[in-house]
Amino acid sequence: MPRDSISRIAGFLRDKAAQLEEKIVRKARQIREINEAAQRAQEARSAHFQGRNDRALEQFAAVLELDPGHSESVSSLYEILAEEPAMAPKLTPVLDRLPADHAHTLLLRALVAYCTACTESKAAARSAALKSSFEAATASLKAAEAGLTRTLLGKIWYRKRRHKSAARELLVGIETTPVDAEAHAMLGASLLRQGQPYDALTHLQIASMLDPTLPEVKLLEAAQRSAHNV
Amino acid sequence: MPDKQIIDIEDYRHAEEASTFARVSQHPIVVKLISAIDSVQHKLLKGFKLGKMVRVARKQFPVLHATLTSHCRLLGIEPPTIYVSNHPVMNAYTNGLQADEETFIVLHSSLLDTATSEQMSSIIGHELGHIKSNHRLYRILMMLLFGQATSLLAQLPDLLRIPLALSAKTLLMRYVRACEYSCDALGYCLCADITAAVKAELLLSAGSQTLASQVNMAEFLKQADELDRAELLSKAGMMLMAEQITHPFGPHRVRELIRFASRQRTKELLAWRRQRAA
Repeated sequence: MPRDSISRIAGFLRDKAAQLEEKIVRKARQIREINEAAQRAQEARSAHFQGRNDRALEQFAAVLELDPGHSESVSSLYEILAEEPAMAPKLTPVLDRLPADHAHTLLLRALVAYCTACTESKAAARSAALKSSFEAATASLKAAEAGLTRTLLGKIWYRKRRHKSAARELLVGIETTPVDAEAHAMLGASLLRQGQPYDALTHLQIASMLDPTLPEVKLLEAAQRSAHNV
Repeated sequence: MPDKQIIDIEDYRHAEEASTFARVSQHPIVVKLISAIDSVQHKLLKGFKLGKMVRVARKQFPVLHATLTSHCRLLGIEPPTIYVSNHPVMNAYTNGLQADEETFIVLHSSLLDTATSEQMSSIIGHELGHIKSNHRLYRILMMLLFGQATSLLAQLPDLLRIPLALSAKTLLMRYVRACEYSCDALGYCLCADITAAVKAELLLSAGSQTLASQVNMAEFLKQADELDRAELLSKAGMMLMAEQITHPFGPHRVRELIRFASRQRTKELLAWRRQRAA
């Protein structure tokens, strides 16, 4: 075999070996990060369970830095900020470190913008921030993620006793989160308050089947009475 | 829905049924042949049904008859005949190709003994769904096509024939199971009571009204999630089982029913139904 060919083959093999080594190192780093993320997620979960929202927010944010695709962290951050919207600014520096075009980054940016607007006093600022941020976020997301966003947003509105807005978001969101008992209960209660007893009854019935301990389930009888009187 | 007169197939058909069936073509001659054979089979069985079962009529089990006629009015179909059969297994089934007198629904006595009238309304609605959607016709047609394909495949070596036949059978049974989701949805639309529709599913899964009323729904639905996330070996087992079973798993059925009830379009359909009933 000519010397040229041998050296070409040797060069090719060297390149391949280098690529493979790089790939293995990258994979090992990824595995390490995923393991670390899982460990931190566990810590975050227990902090959230114990009501230490400050600590839970830090840990979930750290998980996302390690693994931006960790969807449980996103939904947990939603829950934390729904309870305490004033904590939203703490998330901003983390978001700057996440991949800008990732669906989760967009979702969380929208949430932070919304929570910041919520803590401001002006209603106009709230609705403008809400409109621009959530429309921008949901437009760029897959249907399922957009649906989840709407459900979570609906829950935030419900807790703030904005029943019309809550029903609007939950009606859309619940199509992608159909076995979320709390969402059904909140939607049922919101629809009942708006004088739609039939639809309210269906959602309260589903909620009562999924989780009879939810406080809104007590409205089931009222919904039945209203539906029969219509 | 201002101009709506009857419930259309598209109002309740599960997306998977539509997409799966779209892959299978129809043959008009075969369809006519199946209808003729089916008609002869019905005539042969009529004596047995009249002799061994109780036929529902206006003056025979009037509540069942009223449910049937009101459902058929909403669907815009001729009411089929309902027979009550003395049977200890809770079940109901439909036989017949199109909505006419020859088509019949059989309700087992144990089911009637156990289910509430609202649950029966959902179950009858489910069976009517098979008639309205021509499921039996399509199913026979697909089985004929499958039989034809299998005999063609017989020329191939086993290594090719078995996976091809298995995938065709899996697809066929997937269609059959998807039809059940559609009919569950129609059962709910017709009884207009999500609790009754879900409890009817649970009754058939748990086999007892007492147990069905005690089922923890959240735990039951977790079974559906676990089935979705099953490990590879379990999935392989399910695939082999799926080749045989004609009905989807209970937890999946309940989950799909709740999903259907949560749709905005379903709410519009139920509003239209209430208007019609009024």
